[in-house]
Amino acid sequence: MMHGENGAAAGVIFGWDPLWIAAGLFVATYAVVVSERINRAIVALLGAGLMILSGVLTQQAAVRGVDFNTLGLLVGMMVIVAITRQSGVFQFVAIWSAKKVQAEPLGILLMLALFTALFSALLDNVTTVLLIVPVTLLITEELKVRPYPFLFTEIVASNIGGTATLIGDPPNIMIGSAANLSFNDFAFNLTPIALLIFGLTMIPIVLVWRKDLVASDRDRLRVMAFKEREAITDSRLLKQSLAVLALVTAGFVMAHPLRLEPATIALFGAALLLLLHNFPHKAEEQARHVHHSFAEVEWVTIFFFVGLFIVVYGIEQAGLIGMATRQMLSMTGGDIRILSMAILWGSAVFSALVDNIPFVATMIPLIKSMAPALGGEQALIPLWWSLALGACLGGNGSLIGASANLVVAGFAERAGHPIRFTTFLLHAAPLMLGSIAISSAYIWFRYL
Amino acid sequence: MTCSAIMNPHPITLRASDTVATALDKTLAHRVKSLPVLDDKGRYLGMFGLHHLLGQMLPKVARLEEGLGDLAFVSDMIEQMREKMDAIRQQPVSALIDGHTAPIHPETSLTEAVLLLYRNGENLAVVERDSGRLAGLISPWEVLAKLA
Repeated sequence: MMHGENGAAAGVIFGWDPLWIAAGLFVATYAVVVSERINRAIVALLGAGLMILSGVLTQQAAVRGVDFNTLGLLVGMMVIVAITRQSGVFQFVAIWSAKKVQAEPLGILLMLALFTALFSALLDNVTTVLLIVPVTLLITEELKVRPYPFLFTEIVASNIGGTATLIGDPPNIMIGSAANLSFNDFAFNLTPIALLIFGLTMIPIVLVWRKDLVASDRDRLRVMAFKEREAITDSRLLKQSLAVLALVTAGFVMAHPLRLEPATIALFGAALLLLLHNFPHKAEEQARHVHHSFAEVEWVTIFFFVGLFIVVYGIEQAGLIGMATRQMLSMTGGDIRILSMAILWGSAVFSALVDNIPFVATMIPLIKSMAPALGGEQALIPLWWSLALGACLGGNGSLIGASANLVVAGFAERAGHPIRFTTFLLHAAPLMLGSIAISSAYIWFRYL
Repeated sequence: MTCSAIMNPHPITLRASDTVATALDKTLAHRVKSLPVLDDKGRYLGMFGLHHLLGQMLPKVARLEEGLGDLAFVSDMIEQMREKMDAIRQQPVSALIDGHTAPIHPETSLTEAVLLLYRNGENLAVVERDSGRLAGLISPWEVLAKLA
């Protein structure tokens, strides 16, 4: 079998048209991922393997299609969080914030939402909710209040917080890496609108549930008796973790002047924290710690990304992305305003219904290939922000809209407080649509 | 050697309709950690254990996988624990059956039984494969008495 210079196949299996093979594999991969019948990492890796075995891509080309900057950033941050969480800092913050509002349920709901959004902006959403939800369930059990409003608000806050920064949500990491947008670009362009949406979203939540959020003085006293300092299990590790997190965040802010990619910063931060955490221990214990830290990395997500990058690169090399781009430009007349709104609303609706990662992975090369027709890469900026806002905020549209939603729902069910799909949809969809309407106005007036 | 050779064929048992209070009295009186629960026809339903009962005294989230790792920051829960105990004392024991430990069978090897005792730390119900009736019980006492 012969392969072309660019890595696309010069000859594919049975002499079939590579465009059709790539399109067939892409659609099949997408369909099986959406059906959730088979683990998404398995599906993506099978799709990627078949792209190579069928001759659409060479192995070398497939490797070129993998965005190692995205993967490095994800793995680095996952390791940092895995170590930091052992210090108990997240429980400390949750309890401290609950006591700051005198254990008033409404105040706790807002404080936990605020910290969920803040943590989600700096860490990944799934980790954030995994850390906040257990404390939330304990507090609501003590206060004898229904946990649903709290869990609902935390899901919403997590997705809004994740929208705000480069590292908050996987779609942003992918977009930032592909479009060469820095941490500061995200901070200047998405953080203000995420803050506004967060504030406005809390208003209906408070109005709907404020009457339910009442606890007796006796129950509140029990929460006030919590000793947040006891939640810190390792103060040395806490100091080390916070120092490394501060260093990594500073690295992201200074990335452009320092000519550093986010993956380098995150992986170096992870390595530094691993060193600090393990240095005083003997070799056997170091091996155990390091193994534990690496085991905390969500390898399913990482391998899903690897497979997906290759599948999408396959359709790009086969010419399918180019065809879709021409079709999209023709339908919209190349009007950047129509394109922005279509991407924003389309990605929001799509992300509410299915996993937003494959969608964003497909949209990235599509948007990139519009650059010549729209007047260069600078002209694509509104489209990147539209994609980021739509894909991240769209996750709030339904219970299956984002991984964090499913994690909270699963946890709530095991704790005996199941979250119904329809109930969540009725509460969440209007909020999501409202946030996209606000984003539309923001994109329109700021960039178009 | 199989389990049938060393099991206690006449263990103290509980009926599904017994209250938790009755079950607790029996376990405390006989100083055992767990007792098998049977239906009206003598079929094995599961184990009632002190370990599981203690778990009911804790906040639900502390018992979940990936739940709270520790409760050191919670000052004193004795009052809530008493309330929880009072709330479940009159419940039927069937509501508190721990289905976590699968039963073994009379023909199960002794080595396998020792491994399960070591791993689970709970007494093992020996159940007839076809009828589902309780044949006996194996605890560390039976095993160690045989080896001593």
